[in-house]
Amino acid sequence: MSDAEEAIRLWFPVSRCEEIVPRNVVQTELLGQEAALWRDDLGFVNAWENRCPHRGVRLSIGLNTGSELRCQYHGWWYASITGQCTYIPAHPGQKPPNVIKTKRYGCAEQYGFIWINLGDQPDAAAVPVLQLDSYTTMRSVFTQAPVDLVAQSLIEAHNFEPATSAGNYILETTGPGEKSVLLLQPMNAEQTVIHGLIPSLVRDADRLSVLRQFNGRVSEMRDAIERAAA
Amino acid sequence: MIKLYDFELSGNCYKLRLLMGILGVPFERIAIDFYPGREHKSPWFLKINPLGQLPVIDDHGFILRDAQAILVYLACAYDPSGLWYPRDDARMLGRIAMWLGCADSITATASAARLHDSLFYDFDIDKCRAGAHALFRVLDEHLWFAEQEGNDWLCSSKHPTIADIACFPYVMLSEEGGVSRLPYPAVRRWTDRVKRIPGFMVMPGIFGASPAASE
Ligand code: FES
Repeated sequence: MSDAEEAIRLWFPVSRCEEIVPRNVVQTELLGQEAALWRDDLGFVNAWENRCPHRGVRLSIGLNTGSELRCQYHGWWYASITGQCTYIPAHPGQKPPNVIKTKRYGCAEQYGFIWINLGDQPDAAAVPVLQLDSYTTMRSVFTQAPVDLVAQSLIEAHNFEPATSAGNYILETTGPGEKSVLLLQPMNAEQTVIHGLIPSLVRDADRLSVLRQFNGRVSEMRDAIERAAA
Repeated sequence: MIKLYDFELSGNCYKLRLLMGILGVPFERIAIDFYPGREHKSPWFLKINPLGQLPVIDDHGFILRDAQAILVYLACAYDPSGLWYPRDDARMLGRIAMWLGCADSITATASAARLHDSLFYDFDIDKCRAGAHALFRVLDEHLWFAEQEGNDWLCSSKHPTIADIACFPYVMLSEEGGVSRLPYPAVRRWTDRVKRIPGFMVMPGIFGASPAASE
């Protein structure tokens, strides 16, 4: 199986949970597939292909009403959880056919992140298991470089090593002491998101300065990786 | 009534309509044929603004050009709350001036890319887009940490300021210039908040937001 075929079967983090805020739609990309992520008012997170079943317009520019996503273009409504089209403004008296549905991706919340899976039979039990007691999620850093190059630089130049046997998408700091973990989201052949988990903070008062420090360090690594990729 | 020399598709004209709409200031729009007529470069308009640029306002004979300058004027003259431009707060004024400068840089990059793509301006498109991405990266990081500190707006205040209005339009229109905002999720959350300011209005290419969830 090629790397690409293999990757389709894996789960990847695509956003910090707390950034999927009510009445908002997050646009993301995984392995070249765009996804629209949105939380309904009861807290359920939807991960759909970013494509309206009507004419293919991006759902991420649509409106999250709390119970459905409304396409910006012709205003079709798609229900939370099922993705079923429930209303077509041009035919207000008719119930839309059952076959009109958004394409849904496997979606799970774990370690403070939304994970998605593009495969046909997503198995939530296959979300990677991390050896972490308690943790804080850091700001995710977008990087203009392919995932292989990002992983390779983090390992060779920045003291990270693979944290699981499942390839180089999950890395942890080398050496003794508490580990920081970086989770790589391959957006497409040119872009990667670096998500991060750091050991939980003892004192909440330090939270912001630790987040800033870690963000500064990862951003420096990102800059070095982008220079190498350019 | 205030006269606004206006072009429907200009983000810099739109930001003035937006602030006047939010403040409830009546105004009259004088449509200038920016494209394809190039009326902003015509002899009669150059008498009003020798730089040949939009927007310009005429407030009972007081003529002012430059979108950011006009925002300052409108807030000082027409916002009784003083929140959009807090005149007595030195730090806030410093921050606002800084982000108004950033709004000009966004015009020079993201808006230039849009003029290149939609109105066929002869700009170095790669440079415009790269410049826009560099600014959006800074903006996203700034807004992310602002959220962590409990602030919704650009200038670390509980209420939006003219800096938010100044930066909003050309961020929102960036995709018309080929500048994707996918890498900037904190920017998206901020633009949704701007769209929920009471009195918000749209322009072609900028849609409204769904209402916020009731508490
Ligand atoms: S493209 Fe979405 S409703 Fe028409």
